Amino acid sequence: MRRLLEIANTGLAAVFLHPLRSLVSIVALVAVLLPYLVGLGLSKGVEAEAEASSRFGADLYVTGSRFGRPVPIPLSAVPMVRAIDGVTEVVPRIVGEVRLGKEHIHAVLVGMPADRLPAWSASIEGELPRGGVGPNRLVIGTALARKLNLKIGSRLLPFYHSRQGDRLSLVVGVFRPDAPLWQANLILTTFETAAQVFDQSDLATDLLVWCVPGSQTEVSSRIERGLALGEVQTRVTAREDLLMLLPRGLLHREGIFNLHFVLAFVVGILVLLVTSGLGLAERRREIGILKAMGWQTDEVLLRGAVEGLCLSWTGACIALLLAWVWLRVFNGWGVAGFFLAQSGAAIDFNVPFQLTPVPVLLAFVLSLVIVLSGTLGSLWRAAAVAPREAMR
Amino acid sequence: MFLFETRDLCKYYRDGSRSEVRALDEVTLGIERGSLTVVSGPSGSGKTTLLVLLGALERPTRGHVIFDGRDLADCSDVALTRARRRMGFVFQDFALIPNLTAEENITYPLIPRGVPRSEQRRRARAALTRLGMEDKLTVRARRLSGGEQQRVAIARALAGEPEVILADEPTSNLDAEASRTLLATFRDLHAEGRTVVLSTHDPAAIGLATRVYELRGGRLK
Repeated sequence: MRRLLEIANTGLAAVFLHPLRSLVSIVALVAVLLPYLVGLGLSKGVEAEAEASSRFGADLYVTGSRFGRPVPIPLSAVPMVRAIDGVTEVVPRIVGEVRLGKEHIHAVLVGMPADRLPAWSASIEGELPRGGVGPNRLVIGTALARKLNLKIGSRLLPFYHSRQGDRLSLVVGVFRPDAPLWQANLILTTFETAAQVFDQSDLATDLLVWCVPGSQTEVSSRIERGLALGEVQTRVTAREDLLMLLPRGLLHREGIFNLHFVLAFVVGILVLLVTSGLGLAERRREIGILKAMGWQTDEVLLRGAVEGLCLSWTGACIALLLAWVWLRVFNGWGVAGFFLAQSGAAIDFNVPFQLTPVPVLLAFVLSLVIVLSGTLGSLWRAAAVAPREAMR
Repeated sequence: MFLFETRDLCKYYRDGSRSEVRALDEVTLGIERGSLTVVSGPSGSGKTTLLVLLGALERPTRGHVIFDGRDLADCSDVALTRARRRMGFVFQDFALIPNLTAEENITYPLIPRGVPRSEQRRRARAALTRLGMEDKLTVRARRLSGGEQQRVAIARALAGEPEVILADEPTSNLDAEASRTLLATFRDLHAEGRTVVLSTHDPAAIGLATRVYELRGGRLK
């Protein structure tokens, strides 16, 4: 055992025997692993935040449907749903898309009853929107504020046409950068203001329904079967269904990202194959000398494997550290835009990330695979021949 | 009683073209245990090739190398390594690992043999002291002069406490004084009962030999 440890120790020393080769190998590893770790960290973070948001959301989401396609649901449904046994609260909501500014910047406008808005106050700098006369009062997301150069007190020219007349809008609040990422391109306002913006009175895009614990299934089926809303049929999505749907979108992006990563992985192996050619003649000769001095082939391979292990784990550790810095300090610059729709390279809010054990462990395994694939071949070829031939 | 025997030993190389170079051709000889044998001959006569085959560093093209009664041509790689551990080989070009210190170059061959660390250090120090190099223990091999590297290579061969020392042109890189000292070392090793095989055309070394073989064009003269 002591003998094996000493041989392993010479493998560690070999890392420093060929500093240029070791450095290039580690840099190649970091170049491959770093974007992978940042990407997966972001993906997991976004998924976790989405899950958390859904868990704190309503138990059921009721939408309207005609010809099998989603349509607004009449507000007349609110008292009907509220009357169903097991329902504790029903909140109508309007969610729609608007375009702002000369560049038609995409934004999602959410309208909620004014009495529901205080729940958002912790995430907002400034005031909460309220109804009444005067301009529309809006709270806007950080990305929108930057793109449109808006701050609290800024005024927006009418960005919609309504039969009730166009109104100026006033920014009364801006989401904090550390608020959940969903606020980035969001405009939050009262239900009445949203109804006026979209010119859709007495309609909501969905109803948020909270139930007595354990009664969701019963309430859901009663809403779907028993609600008389004329030609509009109701469709209910439970929170659990939403939680199951959430990862799908992310998996699609993760899949594209992984495809990019596979390409990077192949390039990484090629780079390491080239790297292992650095000082190859010198290394071959070194192996020949060791064998001439009484080292066996398996002892030479053990030494090479330990050297590879040291290089790969050093590369993985550095990649991990830099990934954390990239995510924490540079807010996932460049890569975050890949996972978050409608955002550029630089993100104005704190992107969520999680460096979970599985991707971290995978990074260590991958780095080992990359290094060993790049070096074991040449090592084996040198170790398997007669010492004199390797020394030539 | 022969420690080494060769029978019809041949080693052919291809020189890049289709022609074959006969480095050794039908060499049959015997090296007695405890002898100081010199293999002499002009450059290209096959001295190095003979030592390489005796040292189990390469397999012959044809023929036999018998070491202590065992034919190395039939041995597995593991058995060849075991045979190498009983020998100390000094290469003409020293074959040191340039980025390792003199001490590390000497102790590396002892690691797979399971020699304890303290004993490795003691042997390295003793071997270098014997060759007047005790102050170069921690100097990297690439920083040593040719003569110093030669002595580290000899110290490495000695540290393994081998039964036989095979040295290829050991005095070719040394000045007259260093050559004399080195030959005295080989003479002492021989006096201790070890078998020493030198390939050289140094007359002083030939003068020490108990047996001399002369090679010409890969054949024994």
